[in-house]
Amino acid sequence: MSFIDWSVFAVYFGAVLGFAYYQSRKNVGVEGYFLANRRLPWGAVGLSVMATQASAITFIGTTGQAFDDGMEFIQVYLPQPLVMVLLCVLFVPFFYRAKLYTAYEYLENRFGPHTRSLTAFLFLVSRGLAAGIVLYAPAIVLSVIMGWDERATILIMGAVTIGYTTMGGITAVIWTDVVQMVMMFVGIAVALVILFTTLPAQVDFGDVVYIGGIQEMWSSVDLSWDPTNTYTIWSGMIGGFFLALAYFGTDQSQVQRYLTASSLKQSRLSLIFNAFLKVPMQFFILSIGVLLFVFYHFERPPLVFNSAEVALVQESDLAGEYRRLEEQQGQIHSLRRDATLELLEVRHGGGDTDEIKERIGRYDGQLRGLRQDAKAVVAEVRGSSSNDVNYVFPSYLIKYVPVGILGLMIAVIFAAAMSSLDSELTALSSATVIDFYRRLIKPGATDDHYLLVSKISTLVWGLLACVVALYAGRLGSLIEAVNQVGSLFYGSLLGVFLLAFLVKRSNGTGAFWGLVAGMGSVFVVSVTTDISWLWYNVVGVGVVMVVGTVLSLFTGHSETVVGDLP
Amino acid sequence: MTHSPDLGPPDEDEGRIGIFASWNWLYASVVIYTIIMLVVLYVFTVTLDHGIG
Repeated sequence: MSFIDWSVFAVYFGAVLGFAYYQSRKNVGVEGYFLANRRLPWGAVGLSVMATQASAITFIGTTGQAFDDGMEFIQVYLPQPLVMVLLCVLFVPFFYRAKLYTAYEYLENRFGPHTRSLTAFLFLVSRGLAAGIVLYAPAIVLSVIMGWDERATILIMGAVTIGYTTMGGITAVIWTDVVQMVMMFVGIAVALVILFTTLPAQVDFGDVVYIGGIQEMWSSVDLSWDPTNTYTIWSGMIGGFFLALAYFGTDQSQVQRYLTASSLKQSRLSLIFNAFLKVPMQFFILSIGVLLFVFYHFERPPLVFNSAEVALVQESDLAGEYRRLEEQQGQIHSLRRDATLELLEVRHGGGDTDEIKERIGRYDGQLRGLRQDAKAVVAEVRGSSSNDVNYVFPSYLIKYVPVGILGLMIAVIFAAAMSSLDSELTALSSATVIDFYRRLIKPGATDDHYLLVSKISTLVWGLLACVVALYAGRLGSLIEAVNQVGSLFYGSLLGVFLLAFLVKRSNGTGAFWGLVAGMGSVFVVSVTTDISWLWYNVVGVGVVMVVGTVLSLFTGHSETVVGDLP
Repeated sequence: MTHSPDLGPPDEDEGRIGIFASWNWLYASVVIYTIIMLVVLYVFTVTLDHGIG
C-alpha cells in the first residue's frame, strides 16, 4: 500500500477510537455499560444491528460467491423483512418491557433457572469460539493478499476492538458500528463505481447486464423444490426465515442491540430500518461479484485466487500440471474476450447474437472446468479442498484499484470485522456477568463491582478471541465441530422462545427436554439426510414446540418455576 | 410467574408512526415491500438472463 493508502487507513482508526471515547463518556454503571442506559436513537441501533450481522466475510465472501454462482444467495436474505415484523410484534415487546439485560434472562422468568443457564451456556461456547473466527477469517485473507503478517493483522484488529469495547461498553460499540456501517455503504458504492470505470471504454451499463445474463448470473429466484439445495426460494423463504428469526430474536449479540433503544417504539423502528435496507444492501454486495465476473471477461483472472495456495503448488511436483492449466486458461480466456467484444459490436448493430453467445457459453464452460481442475491440483498438494471464494474480491482490489481507494477498501474490510467482533464481545460479557456471575457467583454486590467485572470479562473474551484466531489454522476440525454445534442448537433455542411466547401452558420441564430433543433431532437429521443446513432450524423449532407442548401438558402448568425441572 | 410480562402503558402502540397511520400499516408496508422485492427479483431472473444452455 502507498503512503496515501496508509493515511486513509490511519484516519479510519483514529476516527473510530476518538468517536468511541467521546460517546462512551455518557455511560453510567452496569446498565450504561451493557445497555447504554436505554437511551439510544433507532437510527444508531438499526445501523448497529446491520453492522453486527455484516462481518468481513459477508463483504468479501459473498462477492466471491456471486463471482462463481451469481445472485442466488440473495434468496436466503429475502425473508428478513418479514422476520423483522414478527420480532416487532412478538419478541421485542416481551424483552423490552421486562427490562432485561439478556435474552436468556427472560427464560428464567418463564421456565426457571436451568433453561436460562443451559441456553446462556450454549451461547457462550458457540459465540466465544466464533468471535475468534470473526478475527481469523479476514486476517488470513489480508495476510495472503497484502503480504502482511497474519499474527500482526489479528493482533492489531483485535487490540483496537478490545480497547474501545472494554473501555466504552455498548455505547462505544454502537456508535463505532454506525461509523463502520457508513464506511461499508461507502465501500460498496465505491467498489461498484471502480468496477465500472475499470471496464473497457466501449462497455456500458447495458452491456454489463447483458454479459452477466449469458451465464444466468442475475438468476435470483429458483422456484424448484429441492430441500438439499440451499439456494431455492423455498429453502430461503422457509429455512432462511427461521434462521434469521433465531439469530435476531434469540442471539444476545443482536438482542442486546435493540434493548439499548430509548423506547419500545425506537427499538421497533431500528428493526424496521433493517427490514427496508438489508436486502438492497445484500443485492449490491452480490452485484459486485457479478460485476467482477463481467470484468474478468476482459482481464485475465488468476486460475486460483488464493496466491498462497498457488505458491504452494508451484513448489510441488504438480507445478508443471498447474502451468499447463494456466496456459490453456490463457488461450481460452483470450478467445472469450474476443468473442465478448464481437458480441457487443453485433448487439449494438442489431445483428443476430445467438451463435456468438453459444461460443462464449462454451468458453465459459471450459474456463470453469479448468478452474475446477486447478482447484483439484491445489487440493492434492494441500491434502484438503481448496476454497478461494474469499480471495476473489481482495485480489481484484490489490491489482486494479487506484491509490487511496485501496486504503479505503481495506479499512472497510477491517470495519466489517471489527463491527462484528465488538458486538460479540459485549454480548459475551453481558451473558457472563448477568446470567452467571451476578446470579450464581456473587449476588448482591455493588454496581461498581459489577462494572469492573464486566470490563474484565470483555477483556478476557477479547483475549480469548485473539488466542482462538492465532491458533485457528491449527484447530481445523475443532472449529468445524463448534460451527456444527451452533447450527444444532440455533433452531432449538428459537423453539424454546416460541414455546414461551405462544404456548401459555408450557412449563420448565417441557422447555428443557424440548430443547434437548430438538438438538438431538437436528443432529440425527444432519448426519442421516442430505437436506440443506437451512432446514435444520425448521426441524429444531418444530421438535421443540411439539415435545415441549406435549410434555408440558402431561406434567402440568406450574405457577412457580422453582423446582420445576426434573 | 405469569405468561406475559408487564406489558406497560399501551400508548406506544397507538398513534402515527411517521407517514404511517399505525404500526399495523407500517408492518403491512413491510410485507408488501417484501412481495415487491420477490417479484422484482423474479422479473430480473426471467428477463435479464438469456442463457444459451
